[in-house]
Amino acid sequence: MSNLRAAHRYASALMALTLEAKKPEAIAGDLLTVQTAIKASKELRSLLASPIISKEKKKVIFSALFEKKIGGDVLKFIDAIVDKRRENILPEILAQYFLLRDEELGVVAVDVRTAVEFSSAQETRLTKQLESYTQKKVRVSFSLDKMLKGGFVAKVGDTTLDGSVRRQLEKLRSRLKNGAATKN
Amino acid sequence: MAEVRPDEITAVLRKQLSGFEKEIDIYDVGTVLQVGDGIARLYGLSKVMASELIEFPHDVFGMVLNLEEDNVGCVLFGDDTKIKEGDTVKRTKRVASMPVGEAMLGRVINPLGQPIDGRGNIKTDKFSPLERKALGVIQRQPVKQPLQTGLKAVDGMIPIGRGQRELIIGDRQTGKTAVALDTIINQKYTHSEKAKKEGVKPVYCIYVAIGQKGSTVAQVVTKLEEMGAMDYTTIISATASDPAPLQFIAPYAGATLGEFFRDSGRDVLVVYDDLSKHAAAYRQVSLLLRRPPGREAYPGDVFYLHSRLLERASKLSDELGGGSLTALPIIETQAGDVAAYIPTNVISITDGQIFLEPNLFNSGVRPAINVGISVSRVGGNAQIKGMKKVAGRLRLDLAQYRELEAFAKFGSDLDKATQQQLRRGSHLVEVLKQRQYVPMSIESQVVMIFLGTSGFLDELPLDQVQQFEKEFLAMLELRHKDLLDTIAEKKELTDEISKNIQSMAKEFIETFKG
Repeated sequence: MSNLRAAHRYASALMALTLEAKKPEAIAGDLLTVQTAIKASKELRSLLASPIISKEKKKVIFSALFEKKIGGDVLKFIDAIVDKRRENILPEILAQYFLLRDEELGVVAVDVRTAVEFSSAQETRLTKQLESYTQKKVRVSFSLDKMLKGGFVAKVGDTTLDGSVRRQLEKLRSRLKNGAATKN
Repeated sequence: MAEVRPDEITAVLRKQLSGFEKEIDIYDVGTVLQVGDGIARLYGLSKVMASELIEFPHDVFGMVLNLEEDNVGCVLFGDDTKIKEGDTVKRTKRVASMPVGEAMLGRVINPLGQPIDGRGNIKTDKFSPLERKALGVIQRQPVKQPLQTGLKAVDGMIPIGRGQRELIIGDRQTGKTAVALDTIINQKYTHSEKAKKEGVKPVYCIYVAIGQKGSTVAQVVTKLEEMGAMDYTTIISATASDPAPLQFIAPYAGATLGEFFRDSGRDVLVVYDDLSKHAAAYRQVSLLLRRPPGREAYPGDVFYLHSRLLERASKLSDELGGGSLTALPIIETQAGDVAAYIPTNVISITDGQIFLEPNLFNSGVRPAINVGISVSRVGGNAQIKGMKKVAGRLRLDLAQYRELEAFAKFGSDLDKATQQQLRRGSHLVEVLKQRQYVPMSIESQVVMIFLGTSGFLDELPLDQVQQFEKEFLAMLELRHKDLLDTIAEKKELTDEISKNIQSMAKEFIETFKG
């Protein structure tokens, strides 16, 4: 829990940095590079979490990895958090950063799970509906979930739009169980 | 037995299914970060309101109490062993509320409004929020009508009015619940035709059991059913094995149901048994939610916990229907310590208290009310004229008796006046004794107190006073019912009637002694 709070604070600082910068997309792009690298490499994750390896060694490793690929600002940021011994929450910081970035750009990430494969026409239609519902740009990620039996479930932030057959069956079950059938 | 034909079944099912619309369900969700000890911390739920009901998997409900920067603290109204980390929880968009309606009368329910007496579902139309701001000054009027408890000691010297809050406080096993139960049983009379003619409105009762033994609650239910009191009573039960959050909201559920009756112009009595356990349950919930502890580890707002509950007891103005909600909170003290934290809090909130003492109880004075320190701040305004007249001297005589009690050991070494005071006092104490579950009508009380204070009983030996009372009242009921009815109707003891009673009592004593 306290990790989340700390990550949020660092991410807000990064966000402020991005907004002030001459080329905000560059910084965002650099951070995406770092995030991808962390996601891809188990060793890198272990390195971040390890308390045994010294600060200086970690800084050297990060320079070697990222010097040619990303700009000075982000590298300085990584050095700063290593100094503060907060490199273990770097993945959370990056996750929070991208959430804030989405909010800043007015983009909403939507996770859609469908029971059957949607055709691209259907996907476009759903995306349009979601855009009009959220009044923001949407970045939809589609996935398959046969347990829904039919329809789809769209998660927009905290809100869930549940149009699945499974949910309808659940509602029907609880309605019949609670004696609605005795009403005439 | 009538047979249900297959096509009837099909018809009903088809009707139910056809009325079922297919629409997208929109709900807000969160994830469980941490669960344990009846508390859950949730992530997400950015739009949740404070005190909102949350639905967990496996039909468990919870209430949001802590809204923090990165998580939401929630108490669970059910078993937390089935909830896992990572489970999805849904908002119900409903601030904690319970179903209210006429159908609640005669039932035993839990604080969420679900029946636990095994007699089927309760059909209600309305949901009322558990927490409601109490009424302001303009919407109220002063308390004027009496709420008869049926106990001579209470109705004579510590009268309770409709809309008042009277605290019943004492050590364990001193008869606190007994006083409350007798009051509930005595309200049976208010639902009769006779009461209507006398202008007495019916009183509905709600008994809230907080943290008690299940067996005790079962005994209460049985007793009330036996005395025919369940028809106008609802019992809300959160026993000791129920989770602390349920015990915490139980009194508010009682107040909510009471407000439903009050707002429809009727009079309600709510008994909170007992608030000490309620404070302990709230302390448990607060400490688990990591709220800072204060004195005796109670959270800082434990006074507000009880004050907002008891402020909902009121007498409404005539424009709003003239209904009332009377509260009888019960507090258990430890070793008679009324200066402890919770007792002093509740004493300062209520409009008076009835002190029950173990010494009195053990020496046979039951109800074990210490009249000296018991008080009702509504007082004479809540008594009928007749009772006010005869009970006027009662307090004074008893006070003087208590002062002299220590000298009673000297017996005949005292002067005549003192002996007379002692004799009068001891007889009055005998008159005020009463058995459990036999609440007396107000007219019988007036008669007995009149005889006591005017000295007619002084010549009887002490151990025969109770017997005399029983037989004399039985005789009046049988042969002079009209006398009692007149007192009840006129609500006072006219000179004519008092002369009548005096002569009858004289006669009766002669036959009694012989």
